[in-house]
Amino acid sequence: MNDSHQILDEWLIEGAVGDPPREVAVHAAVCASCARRLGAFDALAAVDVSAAGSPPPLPAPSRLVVGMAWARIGTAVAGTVVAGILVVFGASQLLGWVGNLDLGPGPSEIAGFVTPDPSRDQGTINPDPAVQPSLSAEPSGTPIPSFIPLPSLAPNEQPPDAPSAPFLQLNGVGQTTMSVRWSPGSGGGPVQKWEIWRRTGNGTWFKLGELPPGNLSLTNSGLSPNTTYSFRVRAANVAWLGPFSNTITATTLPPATTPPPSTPPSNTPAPTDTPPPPTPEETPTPVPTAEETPTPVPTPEVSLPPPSP
Amino acid sequence: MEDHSRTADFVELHGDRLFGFAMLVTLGDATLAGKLSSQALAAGVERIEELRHPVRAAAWLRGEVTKGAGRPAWGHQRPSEIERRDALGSLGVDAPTFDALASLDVRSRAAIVATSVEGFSPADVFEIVHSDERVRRARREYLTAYLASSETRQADPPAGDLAARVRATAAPVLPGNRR
Repeated sequence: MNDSHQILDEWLIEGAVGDPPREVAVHAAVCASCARRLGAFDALAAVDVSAAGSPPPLPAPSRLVVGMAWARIGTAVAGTVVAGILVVFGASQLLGWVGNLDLGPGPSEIAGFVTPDPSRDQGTINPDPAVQPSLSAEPSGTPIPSFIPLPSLAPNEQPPDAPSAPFLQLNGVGQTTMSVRWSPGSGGGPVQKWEIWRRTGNGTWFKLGELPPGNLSLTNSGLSPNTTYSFRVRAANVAWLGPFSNTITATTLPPATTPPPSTPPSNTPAPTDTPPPPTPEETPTPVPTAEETPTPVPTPEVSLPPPSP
Repeated sequence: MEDHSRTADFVELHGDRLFGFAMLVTLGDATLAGKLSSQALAAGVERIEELRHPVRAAAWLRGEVTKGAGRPAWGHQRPSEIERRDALGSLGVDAPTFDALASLDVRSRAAIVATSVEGFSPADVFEIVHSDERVRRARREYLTAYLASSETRQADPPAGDLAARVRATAAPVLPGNRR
């Protein structure tokens, strides 16, 4: 029994990757102490960091101003010192000495850990408008705003109930696009806006934008081919953020190696050499995070778009 | 105008979750968490060109918060434990989890939150705590502290995804399910 606890502990400490050994799982399924061990990390997964609200406004850039002042003083002092040395030693001698110095890696090498890596997580929100994937509401095709302000409650107004969780379905998948649609949950207070969230693979969830309550579908374009994305949606009203919908996970189509000779009329995936894209039923469920909907959800119907020419 | 918009987008994209992360790392000290997260966001805005990759930016910002949380906060009045438990309770932190997080140092807490709450990849967690070993150590210490607190408090363990995965693995050979 202690061996089982030890093996289970190691599995949890190493990040609970894959399944535990079956004999340990059989023991753990009926052991109260193991339930606590599993509960330790399930409790963490239930924590919702986005429920903390918003941070206070950014501080005034006083540090930057002070830093610039020091930089100016430093430049003036350094300039004076260099001028003095030039007078004493002569410019040619000094320049020869500087030329032999090893100044180490350049700024880009030093700051390499924050340099964007284009091989990872392509297609997520990017502040550069030139490369930002577009996210549009259907059927209008207008870009999604990042924030829709809500009306405020009157002091004596009764707050409505929280909106209930919507049900999300995959509408279509292309090489660089994904479409989803959702239906509002039954009950709950009136919806004022929808929040659309997405993540790439098992990465972190990010809010893509917000939609007015009348919109019930969207198309996200500018995604990377052959990449797995997950979507989820939640409603907000004047008083509450509702629970998240079920999560839809799908993989964009792989890039076509050769252009197809003709477009078949049927509503089937493109006839490439690569296997067809996994549907949500086929897509392996990523390692769940705190945001993952814990309850099983009905399998959504998937309608794939006609192959792109 | 465009710079202002990019700054607003950056803060909008990262602000709320970063504040939540800071709340957990500071163990429910909302004032300190607000200060650390807004300082990190301000520093991030200054290097917004380098932080265009959202996941990298998120990890870098959490690294800044973790660094700041490890420094002494001179003159800062920490809220009472009851207030801090309340603040974290609104995020879904139960009593044994609070006890276990409280037993860890700042970097270990950051490692636990980044992996088990926010689901960052090992590479991104490395950017936050600069150590792989720290993550394993943090998970071990957290587990030990959680078990002690959970048993003392006689708290029912929450049944989540891990428990479901274990049950699913065991199901084919559990009595009653055998063919």
